[in-house]
Amino acid sequence: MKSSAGIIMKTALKERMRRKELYIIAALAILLLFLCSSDVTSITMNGEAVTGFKNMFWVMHALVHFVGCVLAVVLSLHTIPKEYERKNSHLVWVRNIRQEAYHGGLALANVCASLWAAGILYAALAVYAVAKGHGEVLLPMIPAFLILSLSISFVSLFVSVMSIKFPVMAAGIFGAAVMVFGVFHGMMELFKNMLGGLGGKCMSFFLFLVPDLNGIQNAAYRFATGEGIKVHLVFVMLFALWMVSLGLFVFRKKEA
Amino acid sequence: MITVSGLSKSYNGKKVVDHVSFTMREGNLFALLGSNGAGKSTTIKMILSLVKKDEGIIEIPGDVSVGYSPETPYFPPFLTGMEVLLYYGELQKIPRETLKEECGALLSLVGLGEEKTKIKFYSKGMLQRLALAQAMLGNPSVLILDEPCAGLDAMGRIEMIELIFKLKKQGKTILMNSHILSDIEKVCDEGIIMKKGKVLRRFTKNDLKGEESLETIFTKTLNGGMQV
Repeated sequence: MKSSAGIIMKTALKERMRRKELYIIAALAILLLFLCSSDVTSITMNGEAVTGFKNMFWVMHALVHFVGCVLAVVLSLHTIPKEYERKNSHLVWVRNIRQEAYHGGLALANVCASLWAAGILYAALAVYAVAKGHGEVLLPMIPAFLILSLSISFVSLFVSVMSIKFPVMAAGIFGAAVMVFGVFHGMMELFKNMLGGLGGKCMSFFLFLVPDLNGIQNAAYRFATGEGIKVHLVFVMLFALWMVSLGLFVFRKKEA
Repeated sequence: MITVSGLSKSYNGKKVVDHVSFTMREGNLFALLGSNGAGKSTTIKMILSLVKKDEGIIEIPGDVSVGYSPETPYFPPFLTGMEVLLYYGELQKIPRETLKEECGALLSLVGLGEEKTKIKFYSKGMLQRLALAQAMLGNPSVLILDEPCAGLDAMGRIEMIELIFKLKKQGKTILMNSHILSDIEKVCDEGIIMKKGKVLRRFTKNDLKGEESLETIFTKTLNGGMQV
């Protein structure tokens, strides 16, 4: 016998996969990747044009991660609130399903949909690597995607949990803030050092709370290109995922 | 079968259900009537434990199972009717071996058949029928129908009432809430008329056998404000 959360997740995901929005968003993101990688545009870092496969692959990898995180926020923000808005929840409660199973199933569907969208982007990145004659990264890209998926899953789960407790607007702001602090963790560290005083202390606090999503992205990149990775980052991320998932049990939503 | 006594509910200090009491008898169709804001839907939601009651007692025997059809049913638009029923059936823990067969039979009963049409192409009437079908999953002894004819055209209403009548004949106990008095009159055995959360009048099928139609009784009661 399947668990209630599993049944809810399966159905919510099936519904998601049949919608066109997921594919339209992914297609637009691929187009963006294509534009960034083509000769039409040039990417510069510190005033110098990024050239060579390795540098370009790093930039594209970071871009896939960033767009994947944005998609995770977008795809996860409305699912739970809309269930309540449309009173779908009533048909679930009358079947004696607990809130945590219901929310858990919907949040898992969000995570899977976000990973699916990120997977499409990652596949586009793989195509880019092959097109540039670097097929050797294909195989390590598979476990690298698993590492990257920790970051995407965290953003999706965080937004899903926030949408249980807070209104959509607030959940979106929290999700975007965590995403920005996480994706630009390194940059924020520099900014914190520049700030000092109360602002610096606040930044330190946020950076302590928000996991280093950029570190995970770097770890995935390093794995894909055959370099060593810092395993503790992966464990920290798994711990962060576990912490956020506790919100599914702690937060309760009132009927609209 | 289901007994409600002294049921009350307030929102922000305003009483929306005020000491409502009634008993639903086995095999009967019990009607909750009243204008908008009379407290009918809140009463139904309290019976289903979807809304917490402030006071009162709701007695539902342990062996009684309840199916619920909401007022404005919404189902995932990219699923088919069969997939929706399978989903709710699985949540109800109906054994997989019998579930598909049961869903097929229910879809046939409500006149939807096992078509592959996605919900997004369903008309309002088809959605109401599907809502009724999901309420009947697991063959519950009591059906609670919140405005089952809401938004339906004349033909849709006739078909829905015929369907409800058929279910009643099969022995289902039904609690139904509706604005459309002529529909209720055709099928109900007894009921209450509510206004501003209070029960103004109780009636039975026998009251409707005289010269007064349900509409007359309803209008007189609401205008007169008679309270029982």
